[in-house]
Amino acid sequence: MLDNALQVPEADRLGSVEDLDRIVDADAQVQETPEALLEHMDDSSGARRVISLTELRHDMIYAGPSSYPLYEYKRTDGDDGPVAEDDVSETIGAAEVAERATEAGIDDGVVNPTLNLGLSEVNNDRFAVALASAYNDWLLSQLDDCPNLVGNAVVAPQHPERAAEEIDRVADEDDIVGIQLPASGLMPPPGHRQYEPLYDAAESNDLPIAMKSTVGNKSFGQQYWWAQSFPEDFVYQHGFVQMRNLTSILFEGIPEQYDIDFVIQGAGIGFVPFFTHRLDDHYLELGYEIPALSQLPSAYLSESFYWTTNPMNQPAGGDPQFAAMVNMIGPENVLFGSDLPHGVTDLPETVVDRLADTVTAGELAAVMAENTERVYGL
Amino acid sequence: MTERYAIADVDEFDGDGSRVISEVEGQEIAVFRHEGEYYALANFCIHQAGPLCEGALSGSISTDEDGWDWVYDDEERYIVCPWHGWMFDIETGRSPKDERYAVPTYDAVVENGTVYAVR
Amino acid sequence: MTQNLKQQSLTSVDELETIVDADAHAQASWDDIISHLDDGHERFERFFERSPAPGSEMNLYHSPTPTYLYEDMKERDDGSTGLYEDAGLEDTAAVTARIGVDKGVVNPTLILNLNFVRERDYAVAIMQGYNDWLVSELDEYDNMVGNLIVAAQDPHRSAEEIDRLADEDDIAGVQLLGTALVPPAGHPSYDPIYEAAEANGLPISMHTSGAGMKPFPEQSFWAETYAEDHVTQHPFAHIANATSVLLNGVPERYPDLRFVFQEAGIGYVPYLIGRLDTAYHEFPSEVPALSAPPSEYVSDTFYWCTQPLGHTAETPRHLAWLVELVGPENLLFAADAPHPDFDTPEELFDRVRAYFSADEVAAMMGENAVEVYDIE
Ligand code: FES
Repeated sequence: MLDNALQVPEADRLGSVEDLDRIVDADAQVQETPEALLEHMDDSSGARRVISLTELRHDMIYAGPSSYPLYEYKRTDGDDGPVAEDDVSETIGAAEVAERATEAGIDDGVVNPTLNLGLSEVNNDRFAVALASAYNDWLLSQLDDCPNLVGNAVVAPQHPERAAEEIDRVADEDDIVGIQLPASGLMPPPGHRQYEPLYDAAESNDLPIAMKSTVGNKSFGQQYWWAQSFPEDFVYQHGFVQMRNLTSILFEGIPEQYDIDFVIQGAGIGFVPFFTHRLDDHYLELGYEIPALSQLPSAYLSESFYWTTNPMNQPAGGDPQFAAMVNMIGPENVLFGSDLPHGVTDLPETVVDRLADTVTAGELAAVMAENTERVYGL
Repeated sequence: MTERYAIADVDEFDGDGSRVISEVEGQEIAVFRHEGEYYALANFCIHQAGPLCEGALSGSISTDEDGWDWVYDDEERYIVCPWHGWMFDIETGRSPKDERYAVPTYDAVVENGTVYAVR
Repeated sequence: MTQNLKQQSLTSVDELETIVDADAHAQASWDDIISHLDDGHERFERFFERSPAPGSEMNLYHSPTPTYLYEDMKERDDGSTGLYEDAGLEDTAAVTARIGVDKGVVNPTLILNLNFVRERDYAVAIMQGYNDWLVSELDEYDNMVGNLIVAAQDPHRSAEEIDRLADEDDIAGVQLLGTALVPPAGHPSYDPIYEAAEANGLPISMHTSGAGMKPFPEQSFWAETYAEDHVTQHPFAHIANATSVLLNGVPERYPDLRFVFQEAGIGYVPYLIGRLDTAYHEFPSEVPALSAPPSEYVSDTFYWCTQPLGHTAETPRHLAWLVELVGPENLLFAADAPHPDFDTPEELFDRVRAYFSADEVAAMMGENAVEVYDIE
């Protein structure tokens, strides 16, 4: 049934990936190293001094193996060939990301950090604030030479007032198009009122908030104790992080109070229809507890929440799931994300192949470029 | 064409907050007395067809101006479905959670001590 | 968008021969449980007599806010009626009849939180008392069977409990509660339970609870309301347990054992299976316990209860699509009677009838459950 139900008339389809005008990646990643970040901290900074005593081991700075590339060596292309090309101790700067994007046929991209996706789990709040600012300065210097890339500035949720100041500081930079609020390990969850300054600053600077998940979560809500292997954690951690955060953001009324677009990254899109049905159901049945909203959660989700495609399931195998999910969410809320350079299987043609028969050429152009351009004002 | 059903005598009501449910021509209609006025609704929930008007009446919780504190308005003008808790305003039939959702209402007219549901 | 109507679709639930609620509930009171205790649980009985609040003293459950919905179900002074009062089996049967369900597979209510009980002896006592109460209750109803509960705190005693009661006509399966199950369900410590269930030909049902989970791996801290907690708790527990069962090779060790997942709906299942297969292909050396992709074991031995289906009134066809992605042959209609987020049979039937054949619809509405639980 699905195969038929999803088809669009042939005349409305896009031929192939070559027929797209532009491809814009909503989720590329640079890979910063502690050394590079230290260079962007003042000599007089106590945080700099103490961080330097860790011998710059990222696992001593961030709360644990929360950054994806640590696990890359375990990953294969499905055929036992390793996919890890990059060591987490090497910098992958913007120029290199741009080069790899071009090879993949991507025109423009919005970059996110790698190590600093673990920022929410940095125990020491001063370090977190210092690492965020240092990353943003490093990123700006990287982006200067890359006309095709822009970036999200990262903020430390540990200190929302400082996060707000950081947003004000970098918002006018041409290359900063949004905020990255690292999704994993975010405690309290993002609907909590302590984040008001951060949301105020994002809204007044008209910047969307991206939230990317990672694995190895140590904090409350979800923890990876008892996962016996990396895949066990990988299977559910991303989705848990996003669903927990979204519940908090919605039920505590953030989208009612703020006009902010949210870009949800790292967990794929397959959980979104299920979760939307579930949120709406709770809103209608437990309305007493959700006075902060004036319409169904699904209405806010379609107005201001965007979902990046990565990671795509492997192998594709004729599975209509992805196409069905895009159709249920609505192609206007889906953003192509490559996860480059860490992802290797989420190339533009992967997405285009799985959607070619099931969305119109116009919708596909939106997923592959225009939605991201609109959300980020590119 | 207007339909008009006799539901109850006014003295069957036990003051504000009371209700009478009657079956007329195969459908159940509830009349509530609220602040001296009468309001008529179908005893039918649009969610999963539950017996809406057999549920409890309730006030409503909203947020204050800065969006954080919860404020309880104790005017009990919402009927809460006993099956899954959906709420509807007895005056308008509309859900306070989403105005697009509404249950059928009738005009409640009192004549010679009888409450009629008119539509 | 073509609707692709099947030739032989059903038009009304009345055309179905059997509608089974694969997740009905009955609530045993503490008195019911204690009055059915065998000898050997004196320590538990003494604790229960002396503690000012035994339920909360032994149990780590705590919801962030009261479960309002349940409160609203109660009979009130103003004459408004609730759905049920005591949630004993009598009320379950009444609600079942009222919404047009023919048969039910009974699970606990209060005891859904058994995993939250700290002391192993107490959990074992509750297991035995509840199970004997259940068997005697089920005797009264021709159309109800039940899952005996096991105490995850003591897998060996649980295995003995399975052996003790498996021959009872009304015992159709084993309930291994999913929420707060530590370690998660794929851990080898549960092998005695799986071994006994498989040997006795009983499926494992895993039911979750809605809020208040304190132990690893998902926790309630920071959920400000029951709603906030409840949205995530049910699916998270199933996702974590199903992942653990699969990636740790339980279906390889117990190939004939079936699993039924209850109370989280079905929409998360395609997402979960997609990620499991992705993990299997991308990290093959990390999943040595399996010889085939997880989806294959899932389609052979995993069943998913449909309730709560969620709010799909605005886009009913999406529910049909999700049903197709999971596979109608692996779905069991569940009402959750008499709990307050129950689904009527129409809630599933109306959304799927036009998209699936009469046989497929009949299977998900009842026949799959009849087969899995071997209901007469
Ligand atoms: S039938 Fe009324 S709330 Fe569901």
